[in-house]
Amino acid sequence: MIDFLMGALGKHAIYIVLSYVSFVGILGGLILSSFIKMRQAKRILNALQTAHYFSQSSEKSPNAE
Amino acid sequence: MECAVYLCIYGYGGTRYADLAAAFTLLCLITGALWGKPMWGAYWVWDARLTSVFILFLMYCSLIALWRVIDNPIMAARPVSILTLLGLVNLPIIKFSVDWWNTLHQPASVLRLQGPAIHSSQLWPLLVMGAAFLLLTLTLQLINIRTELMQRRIRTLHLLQAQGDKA
Repeated sequence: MIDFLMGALGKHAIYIVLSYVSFVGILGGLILSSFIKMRQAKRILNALQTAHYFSQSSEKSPNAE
Repeated sequence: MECAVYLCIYGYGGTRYADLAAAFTLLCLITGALWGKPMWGAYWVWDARLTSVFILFLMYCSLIALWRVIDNPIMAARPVSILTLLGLVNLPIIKFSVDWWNTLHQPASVLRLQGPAIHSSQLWPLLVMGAAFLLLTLTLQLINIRTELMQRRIRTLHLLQAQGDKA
């Protein structure tokens, strides 16, 4: 089995390496970009929600008048 | 039918699914070409299976482009759902292309009436990898839906902020 694999790798090494590179590159990029987009959206949403909460509470507060 | 697809696309999932699907189809085309060179002697031939999968990839690209071109997601949902319905025609063509036409690609070897033609030493890893890809797609899609929900909330908060500034 190992001999077969080594033989196959030797003969078609470039295709196997390129396949792995494209596999890892595309899937890795997809996973990373999904997580990065989610974290960015979470950060912006938290900031906006906090700002919205404070603006609401300052409108309601008697001190604001 | 149109309503179902319209809802499915206007719903949170559809906006992001095209990105995933395009990436998976691109991966299939690239690794398929790299496998084809040592096996068939060519990276690419314009046979029915390969061409129909390439058309599927172009279809996903046009869906992504359509979503990005139209800013308002409500306005974008209708043309995207129509394009998706048109794209559905391609699915049976991809599946049966190797049976309908004489192609370089081998005929169906897993989903066929006589049972799989692949040896079990290859069939089981193939099925396990298929399940793994399905789970990966599901996970990424759930993450994408969550991101889309958050981005819609951000849009709403921006609108509220703008209204507040006007008042």
